[in-house]
Amino acid sequence: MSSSGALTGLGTLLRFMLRRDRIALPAWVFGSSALGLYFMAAVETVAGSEEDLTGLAVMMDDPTMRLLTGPGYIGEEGITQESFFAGGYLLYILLVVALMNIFLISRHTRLEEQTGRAEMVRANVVGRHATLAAALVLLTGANLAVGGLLVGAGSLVGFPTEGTVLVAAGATVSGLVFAGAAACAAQVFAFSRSASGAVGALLGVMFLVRGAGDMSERGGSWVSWLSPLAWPQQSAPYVEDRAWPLLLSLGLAAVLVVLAFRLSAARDVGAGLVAPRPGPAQASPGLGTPLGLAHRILRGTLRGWGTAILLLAVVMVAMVESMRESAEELPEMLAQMFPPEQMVESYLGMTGLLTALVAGAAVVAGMQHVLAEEPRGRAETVLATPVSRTRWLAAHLTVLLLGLLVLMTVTGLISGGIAAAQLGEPDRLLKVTAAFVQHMPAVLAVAGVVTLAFGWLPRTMGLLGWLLVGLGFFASYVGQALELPETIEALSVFGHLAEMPLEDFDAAPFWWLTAGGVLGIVLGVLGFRRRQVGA
Amino acid sequence: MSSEPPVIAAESLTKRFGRFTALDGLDLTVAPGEVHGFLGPNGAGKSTTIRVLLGLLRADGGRVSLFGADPWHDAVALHRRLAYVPGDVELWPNLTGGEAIDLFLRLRGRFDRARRDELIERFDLDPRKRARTYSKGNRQKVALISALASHVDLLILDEPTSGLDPLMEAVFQQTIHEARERGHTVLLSSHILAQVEALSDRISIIRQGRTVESGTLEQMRHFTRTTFELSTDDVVALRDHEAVRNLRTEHGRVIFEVDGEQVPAVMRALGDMHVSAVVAHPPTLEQLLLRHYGQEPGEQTPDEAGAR
Repeated sequence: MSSSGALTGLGTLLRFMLRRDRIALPAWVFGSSALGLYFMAAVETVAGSEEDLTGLAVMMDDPTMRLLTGPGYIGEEGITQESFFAGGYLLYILLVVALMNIFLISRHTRLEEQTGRAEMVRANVVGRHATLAAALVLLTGANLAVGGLLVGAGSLVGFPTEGTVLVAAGATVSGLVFAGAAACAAQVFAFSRSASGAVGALLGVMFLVRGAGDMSERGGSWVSWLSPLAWPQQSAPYVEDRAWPLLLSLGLAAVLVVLAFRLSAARDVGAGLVAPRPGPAQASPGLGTPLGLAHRILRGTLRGWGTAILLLAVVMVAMVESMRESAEELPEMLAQMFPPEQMVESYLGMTGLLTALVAGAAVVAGMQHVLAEEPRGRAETVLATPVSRTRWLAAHLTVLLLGLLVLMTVTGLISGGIAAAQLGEPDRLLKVTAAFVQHMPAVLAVAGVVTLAFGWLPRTMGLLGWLLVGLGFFASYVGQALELPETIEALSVFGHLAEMPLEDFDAAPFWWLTAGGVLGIVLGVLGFRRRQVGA
Repeated sequence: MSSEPPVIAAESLTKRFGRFTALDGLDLTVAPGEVHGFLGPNGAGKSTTIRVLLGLLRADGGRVSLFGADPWHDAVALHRRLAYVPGDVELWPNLTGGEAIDLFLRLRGRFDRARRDELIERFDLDPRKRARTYSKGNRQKVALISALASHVDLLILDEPTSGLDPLMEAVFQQTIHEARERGHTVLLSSHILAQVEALSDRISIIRQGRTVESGTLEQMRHFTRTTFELSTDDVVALRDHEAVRNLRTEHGRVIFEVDGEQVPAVMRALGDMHVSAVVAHPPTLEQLLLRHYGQEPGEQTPDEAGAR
């Protein structure tokens, strides 16, 4: 067969993918560029005056802020609205674009193989590499479209063209890097969930790596450069306006794409690169109950998200000592604004909140997994045994929520231990643990909303859940400087609890959120009892 | 038929999905201890009926009872007494076949471990393989073994042998015979007519959500025509016989059909004729089905048209 034969059918497949994604793809593309436009416009409201900008420049000096935003490039003539935008918000555009690439590549390659649909497609006149190539062409187009729209957004708000083009190009090439990474993962893992989970975890690690680098010094250290997420930021849009770091992204993307095709050629259709091993011929005693089954179904989800939560907390808390040092070195004027003691407290509190947000995401992902039991017909087979719907759903919720409670407690204890050791203050151990576990009612509230949707409007569950978690993240971090409307802030279940250890424990929101979460779960179970299964 | 109350009793069952009517006045009665064949073309509503019987869907109209109870309200209690095998078995990819079998057995409650092992042996299943590596036939075996090893009164089988090889098909038929001997009731939805013919005590044929025929195979045959094929030169005598329908000659053989109750009369007439060879066969299940499939209900069947 000629080498061109390997791509036979690419055009047809591409049209087919566009047809299947006629809603998802525009939503991602317009959504991520609209986010960019929103950030650009919002900078005008939060930093309209010179005074505001000077205050924000101080924030760029704060290592915690740099951890969450970027290297903090500010030009010689001082901070401008556009450099504040690039310094503070470019990272989040990159994150959303990366997620688009991870999800869509997984969906069009590994998910198709996992379900056996790829087999039917490949049995037609379709080349060996056509599916992967079509998916990559699709995402390249999507990344370019995001870039184009961002250029338009920049000119709409009147930002200098050169910097805006760098921002847009940065988003495009960074998207390509994660498309390439997702394409490689799709070859290695036999399941789309594992594949996108692995690249998602990589994205999280890359976020932390560049965070560690950016924290240690203004403009980032060599550590920052280890993360592809840092390269678009290092092009320093509106300040230095240098394009060459983007070539690194482009090069890495090309290497990953070539690697993905190589890996793809080295395996069978439908298989991963890891061969399955035989397992037990009989079930262990624990597997005979709905609870045991729920544990097996959610075990992987809990392991994956648990690793993410623990890793995130450990990496962040490990930097607490250097945080305090840098806080002590701040100029006197700044030190008054950010007392060193408060800096440590707010840093630890922020870490706890971030783990809670990831735990909230784990609830949504876990419940999506449970919901997927229905269309696949497995829920039907189990519910055809003497297991009531209440027991079935309750078993999954119990495993998920208890698992996350244990995870948050363990993460709190480990983080507290690290903080206590680093700072030499033993009482930190329990304080940090309490601060972490205190967030569980917010996680429970997410479970309440998601279960309510599960019982009454299962089709909206995923969207609702991710919006809730996304809003929580946005309101807690990205939006804190943007002066969000109060109603939006109030909608975030993560924003109501006391910011421990900075603030004292506040019982009222703790119990309100708990009660709301339990109520949502009860109503959701009632809904599931009366709706049809799998219909 | 038994005089005991039926295990499954559905009367004028209706079920709509939006504007689509899946069940349109379906009737189904299954007596204790009988193997009931449940036939119908694709999309006739067989699986929808089964899902209603399992309490997974709620009927829009009509009456339905399982062991005298309501399948929607008493689902859990009823499920203790039945085992279900779907036509397309989906398993958890990270569980082995053996684990999945045990899971279902334990969820249902009482079961026979020795019987489980024996069935694994008979169906030639490797219980140590992960479900993701199983073929469709092997996944089907997992559900069948777990159903057959459970201590239940009713087996609901929805095209249970799709994907099984002929050898396994034979094992399946044997196990169903054994189940009937133990007094189990079986609802068997299937497209394999030889299987239904071999196993079923009674049969219900449904079409477009409605029951079009129900009874024993014998009863059904009685209402339809027997086909005669013979070698004879005496066609004229046959043409004049009032019971002979649809007379034609194919490949040198004379072929015609006769209504069930007039077969003896035709046999007597044949005795006086010069006939060198004769084959008479009652309608096969396939012919019965084809009479009901393939045309709108109420439309005339091909042989009715040919009789004019």
